[in-house]
Amino acid sequence: MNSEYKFPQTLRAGIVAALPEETSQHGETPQAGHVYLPSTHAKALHPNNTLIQGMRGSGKSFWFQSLQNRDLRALLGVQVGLDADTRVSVGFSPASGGNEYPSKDTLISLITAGYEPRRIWQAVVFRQVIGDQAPDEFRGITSWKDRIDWVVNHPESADQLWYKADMQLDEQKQFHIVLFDALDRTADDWLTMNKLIKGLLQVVLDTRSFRRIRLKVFARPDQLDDPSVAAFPDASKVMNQKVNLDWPRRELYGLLWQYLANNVEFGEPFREGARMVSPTIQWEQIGNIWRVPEVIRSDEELQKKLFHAISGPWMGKDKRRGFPYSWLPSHLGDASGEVSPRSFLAALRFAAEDKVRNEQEYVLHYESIKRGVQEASAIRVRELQEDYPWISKLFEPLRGISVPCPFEDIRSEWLKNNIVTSLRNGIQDASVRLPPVHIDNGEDGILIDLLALGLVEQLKDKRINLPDVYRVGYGMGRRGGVKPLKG
Amino acid sequence: MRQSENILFGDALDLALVVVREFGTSLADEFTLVRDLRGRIRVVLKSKPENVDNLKMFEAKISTSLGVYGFGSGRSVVFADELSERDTIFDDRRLLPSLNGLNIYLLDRQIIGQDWMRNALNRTTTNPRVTFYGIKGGVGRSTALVNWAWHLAEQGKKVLVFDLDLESPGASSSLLPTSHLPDFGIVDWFVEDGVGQADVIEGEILGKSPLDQGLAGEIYVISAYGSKTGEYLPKLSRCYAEFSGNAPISWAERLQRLVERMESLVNPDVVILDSRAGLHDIAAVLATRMDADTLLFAINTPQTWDGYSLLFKHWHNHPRVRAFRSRLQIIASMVPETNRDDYLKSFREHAWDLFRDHLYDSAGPDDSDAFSFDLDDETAPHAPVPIFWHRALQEFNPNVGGIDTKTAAEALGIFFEQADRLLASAGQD
Repeated sequence: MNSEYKFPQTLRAGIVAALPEETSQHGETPQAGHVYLPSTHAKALHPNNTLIQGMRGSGKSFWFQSLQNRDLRALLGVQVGLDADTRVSVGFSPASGGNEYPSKDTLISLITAGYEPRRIWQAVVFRQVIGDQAPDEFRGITSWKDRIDWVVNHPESADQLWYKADMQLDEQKQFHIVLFDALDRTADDWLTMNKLIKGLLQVVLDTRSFRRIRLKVFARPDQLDDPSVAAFPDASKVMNQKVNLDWPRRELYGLLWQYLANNVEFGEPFREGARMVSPTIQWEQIGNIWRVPEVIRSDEELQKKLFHAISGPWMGKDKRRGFPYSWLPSHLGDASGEVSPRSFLAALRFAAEDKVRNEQEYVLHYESIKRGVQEASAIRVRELQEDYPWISKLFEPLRGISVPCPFEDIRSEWLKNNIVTSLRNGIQDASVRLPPVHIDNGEDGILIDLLALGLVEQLKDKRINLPDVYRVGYGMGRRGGVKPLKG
Repeated sequence: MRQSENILFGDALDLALVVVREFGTSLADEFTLVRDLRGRIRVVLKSKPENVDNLKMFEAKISTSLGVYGFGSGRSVVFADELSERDTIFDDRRLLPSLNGLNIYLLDRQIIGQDWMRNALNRTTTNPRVTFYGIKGGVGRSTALVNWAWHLAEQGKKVLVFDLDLESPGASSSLLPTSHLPDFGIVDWFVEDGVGQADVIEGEILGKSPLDQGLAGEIYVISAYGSKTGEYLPKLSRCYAEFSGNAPISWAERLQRLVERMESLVNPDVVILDSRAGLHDIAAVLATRMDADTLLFAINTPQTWDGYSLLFKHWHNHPRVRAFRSRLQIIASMVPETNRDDYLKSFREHAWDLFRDHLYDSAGPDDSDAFSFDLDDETAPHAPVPIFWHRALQEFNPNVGGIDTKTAAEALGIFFEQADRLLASAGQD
């Protein structure tokens, strides 16, 4: 055992320096050194894949931003069917797009005026793709209503322009991809949002016949769940090819290596240490970016060896609590076992910031890793809060409750605090916006939504449990028959 | 027919506690309740209290309260400083949950059942030990044992198996066919040890399994009986005596001696203790006192969980529960071929409730070091290690055709992996 390589204690500072603080990088272009491409994500980035599904924090906005950047497209490279010259424009984003695409308020007014969502998005894509090649009379239009009307009223001209643009792209062997992100910001209520998403998916279907014009829609699972979203002919052709932005364990570690290897100050000692762990780990630099070698992307045994050179081989003194390599992601998983990469990196950063213990042998002490997981719990909770502002209202009254418990215990807390009524009344309120989908079914409906989000799980006898990452984050306990020893 | 005033065994202790708490520190600051073999309870105080009237009232009250489970007034309270055997009383008693600074102990005198609550035994050997236990029989425990022994030998390990299912011996027959039986077995060792001459036959109880032929490692077996054991029952009934030669010594310590002596003879990499099923004292010793990791074999039936629940309730009050609970591991044996995931999900939830209710700590949101595990935690004692049902295992007889590697890998692959992990961690200490 002792002959195995251990990273020097200085790597602790390296971890703190290399891993990001919790702040979301919304709207910012990612740094090239942080771009790590998990294998399922590579598929998602390919122009031919138009519907990309991912839970909160899975990287939708990260890729949305990356795809818009020439250098990053070049870095991601040909294996995903992209290069610097690939044309990319934005069809919707919460960031203000000037007049490039309609804002939420514009969308609402269009819907209120009776415009069909499919027509709205069609006009958006038309404007992005046809752009300067559109006739002057279209280019002169400044309002979205008039743009939609023009496209609707000039079907033949529009068809010709579509065709011409597609042929031109094909000659240049280039795709034009129109990106759609943060669809929850298109509306304040589910009915309108579902209509808009349905319309968007219809346009996805319409553009399938083009060779080089593509949409890429980033959506959360709950945004695609409602049956009304897919209620149009051939919707299954769109839905069946959706790609999920998963983060299996080996990709989380791949991401970690990416950050560590590319840190300016500590990258070299990390890479050198990795070579000491195994000479099969050969680093290669492309431009000024270090690529994570394939062996420590896919070989979990080697990943484990490398991580254990940082963390030590066990998650406890009694050596029965399992391996840090598997312990860490499994304690950050939601009810479906999914881990958000940000909470994974945050847990390690916190662990590295924790106090150093007496006779600490490794860079990260297992107690620090446990602390890190607890802290990361709060990050995951905050992350979710940004997308589902109503969640805190539901969990605030549950603080102090222990799980597993009958749903009745939770229901009675909600009843006591008038949760359903206050959520219903507060729908216009920014703190609620897009309330739980099934709120009309009262507490039972909310439970359905929480289950779908992976926030809670239900046992076979109907009792409710919260996976640790949320239980800790929401300040809840776990039932047990033994009183823990103090101190 | 039972009348409402009839006091049953289960009521007596609670009634006695009510009276003791009523008098409490006005009488003494420490009480020891001694429950005899028939369940009758009397109170031991350190010495006679000054206030004689108070004492008399207490005696009368406890005597009438306990009915047939009490002693007549005047005999219901005794004083330790007047007893000849006071030491054993204070050694074996255990503390009941205290109330308002009042210390109440219980000394439970039982014929059997006490081994469940006693301390771990000291040992001089260091090799890892693994106990195979099932609350019910017929759940594939022995099959798993034989296959694991073979798997370890295949890795070049030296394995020593004790067949301690003395009441229904034969687990070892898969490892030791009749032709390979040594002259004597465990029952013979206990009988001879009873008169102080175990060493006379110690060299003749070690069997060598033919199953290790062609493997890098070795499998040794100490079986319940040998070819010269002769009549089994008269020997079995004498096994449990609590003396060795002329020295009084608990049965558990005698067993420890047997295991240690054979360990120092064979020098094994792993010792496997095959426990008998149920709530027998042998099982108690093997699970809680032998410094072994214990594999709890279970199938997902109400009977299994009810049985384990009885056992775990008892363990809940064990003075050393914090020491041995981390060395338990549940095994999901005979997982059916169909709907495996669903079966294991249900199994996992039952096992979680069982461990959580009795052995896991309650944990607040910030208690990261509590002994408490989430439902899906794969490193938890309650996380089922599956052994899949396989036709070939049902008709399993390794003496005919040896072990089928493919069957073993399919049915027992995950079990091997996890059991090996336990060994690896045990060896790290």
